[in-house]
Amino acid sequence: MRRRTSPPLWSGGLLGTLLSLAAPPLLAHAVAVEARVVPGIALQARYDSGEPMAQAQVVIYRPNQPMTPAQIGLTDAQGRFQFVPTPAEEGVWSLQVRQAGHGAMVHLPMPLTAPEGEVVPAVVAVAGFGQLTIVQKIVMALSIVWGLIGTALFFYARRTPNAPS
Amino acid sequence: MRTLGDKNFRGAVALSALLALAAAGTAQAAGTLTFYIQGEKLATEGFIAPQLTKDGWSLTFAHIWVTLADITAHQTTPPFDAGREELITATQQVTLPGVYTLDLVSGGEHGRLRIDHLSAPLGHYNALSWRMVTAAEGVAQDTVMLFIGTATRGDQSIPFQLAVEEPHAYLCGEFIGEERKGFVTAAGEADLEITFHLDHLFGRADKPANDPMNRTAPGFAPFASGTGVQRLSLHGLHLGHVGEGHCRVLWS
Repeated sequence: MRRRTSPPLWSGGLLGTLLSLAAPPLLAHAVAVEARVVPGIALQARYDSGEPMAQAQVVIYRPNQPMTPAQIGLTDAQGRFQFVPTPAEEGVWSLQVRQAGHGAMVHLPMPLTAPEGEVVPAVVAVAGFGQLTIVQKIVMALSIVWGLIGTALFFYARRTPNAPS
Repeated sequence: MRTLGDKNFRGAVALSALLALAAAGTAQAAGTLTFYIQGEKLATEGFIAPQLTKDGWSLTFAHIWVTLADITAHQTTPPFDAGREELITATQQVTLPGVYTLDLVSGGEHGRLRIDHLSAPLGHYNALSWRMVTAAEGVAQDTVMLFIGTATRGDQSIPFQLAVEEPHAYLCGEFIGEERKGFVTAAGEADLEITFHLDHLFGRADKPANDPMNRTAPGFAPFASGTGVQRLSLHGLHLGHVGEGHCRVLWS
């Protein structure tokens, strides 16, 4: 029986608990699925009034392709959005949130060293209007979460009939 | 007379220039960086229903003159945060020489108006600053901004001229919009954009009255009974943006 070697994770000391490392025996046409808990990034976007930026557009840019969106999505009703960065891509990830003609951008350096649940230090370009005393700012917070997408990573193993195992 | 705001702004630019020179070293590869400006459809088409002013006026503009100087693109690490009480510290920067008086109403495709271009060292220009200065000559002389147009509500039709006379400066972070901007590559072309949000001045009838923008915007009513050239104060208002991105305003 072969044991699958886990690829190096991007988070260094933040390596998540592996739910399953052992692959089942490789059989003809067998599909092996491994589910692991991986660290992800949880984004919370709201106005400083406390109102969540619900259904706001989120655009994620990778460090190596900062001009091309890597992922586009929407926040939920509470202004939340979650994603799992590509493990090997270290550098600055940029997340842009836009709604109703206003937007803000947050920059996230990888790899992260913050512990679970801690808000990740990030630069936020505030968007808003009016006097500072009554400005409606966009406030974004990023935090590391574990088990964010517990079944995010799947490994499929295919074997043709009679192939040596 | 040089004002405190001017000194702050010029000091920030000078400091950034020194840092940028130190970082730049010898001759570098370069691309082209073009600067645009626009006031969106509210400038070129006006406040047309349902996008009337917060107090129900329809506005059409013959001209919206703006006069700018020291238009400067910066590379900043970490990225400049316009929400903080800080100045821009750049590792690289380029500045358009001269003073530009431009009419936001004359914007071309998508309302954009090309200001000028220059050769720029490679990199991501993720901050933009400029000064709003007094025009020394021409139709906009002695003004920083000059709105000329007609306001209509019901049977009323009022020609107006609103003049902003107080110089100020904008310090902005990265352009925010449909695409990221400011990436200058070898022999490539990149652009940046100054965006004026006129609804922050006149408000919008198609947004709730308690919308933060409408709570702050004076609307058109304060000028409806005036005649001739009326003074307009932009204190407390943030008209200048980079796309949808916010800017810090420095006043004299």
